[in-house]
Amino acid sequence: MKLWIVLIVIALLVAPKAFAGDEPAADIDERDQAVTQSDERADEREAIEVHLAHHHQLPDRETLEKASDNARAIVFEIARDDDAFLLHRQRALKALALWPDDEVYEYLSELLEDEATENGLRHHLLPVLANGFGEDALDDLSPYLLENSDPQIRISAAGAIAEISGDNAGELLDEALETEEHPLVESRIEGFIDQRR
Amino acid sequence: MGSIMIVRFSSFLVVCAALAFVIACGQDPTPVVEGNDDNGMNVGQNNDSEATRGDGQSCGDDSDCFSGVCLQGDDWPGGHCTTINCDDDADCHGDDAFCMTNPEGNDFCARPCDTDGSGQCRDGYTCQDAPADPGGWCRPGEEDDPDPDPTPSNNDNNDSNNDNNDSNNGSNGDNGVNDFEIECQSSPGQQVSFDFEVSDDADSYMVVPISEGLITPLNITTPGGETINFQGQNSFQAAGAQMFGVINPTVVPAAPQFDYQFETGTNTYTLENDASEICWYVIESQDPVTTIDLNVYLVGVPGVSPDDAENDINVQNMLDETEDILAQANVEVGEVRFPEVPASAEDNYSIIRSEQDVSELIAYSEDPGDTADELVSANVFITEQFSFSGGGGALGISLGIPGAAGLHGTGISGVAMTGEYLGTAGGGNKLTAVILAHELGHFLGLFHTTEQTGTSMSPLYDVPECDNMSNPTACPDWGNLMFPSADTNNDELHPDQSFVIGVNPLTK
Repeated sequence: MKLWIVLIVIALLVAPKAFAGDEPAADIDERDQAVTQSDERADEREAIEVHLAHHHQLPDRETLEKASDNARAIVFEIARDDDAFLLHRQRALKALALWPDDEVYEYLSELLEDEATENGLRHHLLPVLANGFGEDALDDLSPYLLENSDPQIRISAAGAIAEISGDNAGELLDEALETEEHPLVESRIEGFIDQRR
Repeated sequence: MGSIMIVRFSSFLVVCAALAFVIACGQDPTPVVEGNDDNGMNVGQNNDSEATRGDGQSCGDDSDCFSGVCLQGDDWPGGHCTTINCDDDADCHGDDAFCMTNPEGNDFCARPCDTDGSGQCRDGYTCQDAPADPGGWCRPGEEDDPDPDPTPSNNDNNDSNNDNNDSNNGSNGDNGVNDFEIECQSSPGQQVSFDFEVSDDADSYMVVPISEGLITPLNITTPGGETINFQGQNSFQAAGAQMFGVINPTVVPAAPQFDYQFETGTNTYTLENDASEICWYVIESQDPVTTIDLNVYLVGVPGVSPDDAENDINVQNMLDETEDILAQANVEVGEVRFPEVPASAEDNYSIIRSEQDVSELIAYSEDPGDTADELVSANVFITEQFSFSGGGGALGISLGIPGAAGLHGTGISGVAMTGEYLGTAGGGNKLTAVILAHELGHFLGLFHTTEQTGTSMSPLYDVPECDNMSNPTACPDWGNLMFPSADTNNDELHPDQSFVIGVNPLTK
């Protein structure tokens, strides 16, 4: 009986090593490679986050792509990451406009319209859409200028739209000036219109 | 404790006139008058481009006031804008003015105050009970003045009796360095030199040339014949003129290796000047320095008001963290004041959307007191959010490297920064402290250790630079407060940086 138990114990101790010994060398390489890639990715994400957190300016696309070949994907990853540090996420959302494609536009415009999005974030998103997509963003921006109930959002929308060149943006601002009843917003819209001239 | 000696003091108006060419100046840079909207914000537009002062504020003549009426004479120190014969508060001009019932004559607009409080009224005025209204008003006279006779009379607003030269006599109101004396001299040619004295007791000084035209600093020659060359090895000290054109705060010595450039006695500043006059002021500093006083303006920061900032756990935690950073330079945060900006300014600038917003907001800074010690303090504007319309992104902005010490009420009188990370998870208070200390570092004269391009303007020898910014956390200057990226780990100061902080007269 005792010998039986000893054999079982020995078998249990030896078995894992035996199984490990049977693991193909290629699998080990793949796993190590995956770990290495994961570490590299983490390093690259850290580098991107540091660039995004510049005290005085958003990094340009070249700077980010110099830090990582996967810069766009990493910036997108940070932008979508609800658990990311607030500063990094805000800056990633802004940096997405450095790659102004359909996927980015769709994501940013949906985030802007999402009822769960806080107005604090909207103040950042409005200029991002305007600067990244210009006239193409006017349809999505205009409700925030003409219809939003928060005067500060209307001011931010006006400021963002004022950065868009072309007659359509100017006409939208003129329309807002005619209908706007809040004196502060009206005054700021006038200022933005003056700056465009 | 080190001491500050104000060598020359000046009129705010001279500074304001010069700076108005390029930056906001005065308390109400986007004046709104006439009536109130349903949110209590003053509304309307002032079409008089010269008027900048609301009722109750100081003035040199009628054109300074929205109302067109500047009460002057001995009864009204520094002048007093008002609207006479008002019917109600809506008739008054500017922020924080009310129509005061005057049993002895015409009703007029004045600045309200709380008689239980202090420090609400500008120099020469104290808070007294309004004669026939609830609350108090800022009345001419000192605390112990039994009857300052505050009723406006026709003589108070008789233009023929006005001595307009008095408007520049250094006693004008609640803005600016009204105790500082700015010296001025004519500047007939493009190149001009002025002499300034540095006393034997001084260990460093800041000299601030100001002009109504563009200036290009050339050099300072010392009594011993040394030349501080702003076109050569000291070119980093021309940053102020490069940024603002008309002013160039200059600290001597600017770095440890330039210690020899500091000399007491008569020094001579030479510069190119596009205007017919050049003005300047000097502030000296003595070793050892131990403190920096802060005037922290909280502008729409959610959950905290200036009234409860002293007891707000996040604000205090952030200030403690800031003090820990500055302690590396043997500087502690001294007096911290929490002044308020007018409600209209808070509505306008709680969300900063441009550099112009920053300048206009900072112009709301006010003299923190009457004494030189009070005036030599740094203005810090913490807003709800920075979100620039033009894209990009700044967490904070310093108006100068270094900024002009002792200057309040202009568009370059301090730093502004976002407060949106206060109290947030993951170290928001520490990050806010890093932003504050970083901007203060700029205002005290520190450059980034490395720019994103891999270059650096920093003249300091003991601060390493980064030659590969693509991997920033591997940089030798990662961890330094003046690294260009904001991170809770970037809070270190090197000895040379501490030197720069110590020689700036804002530390005392």
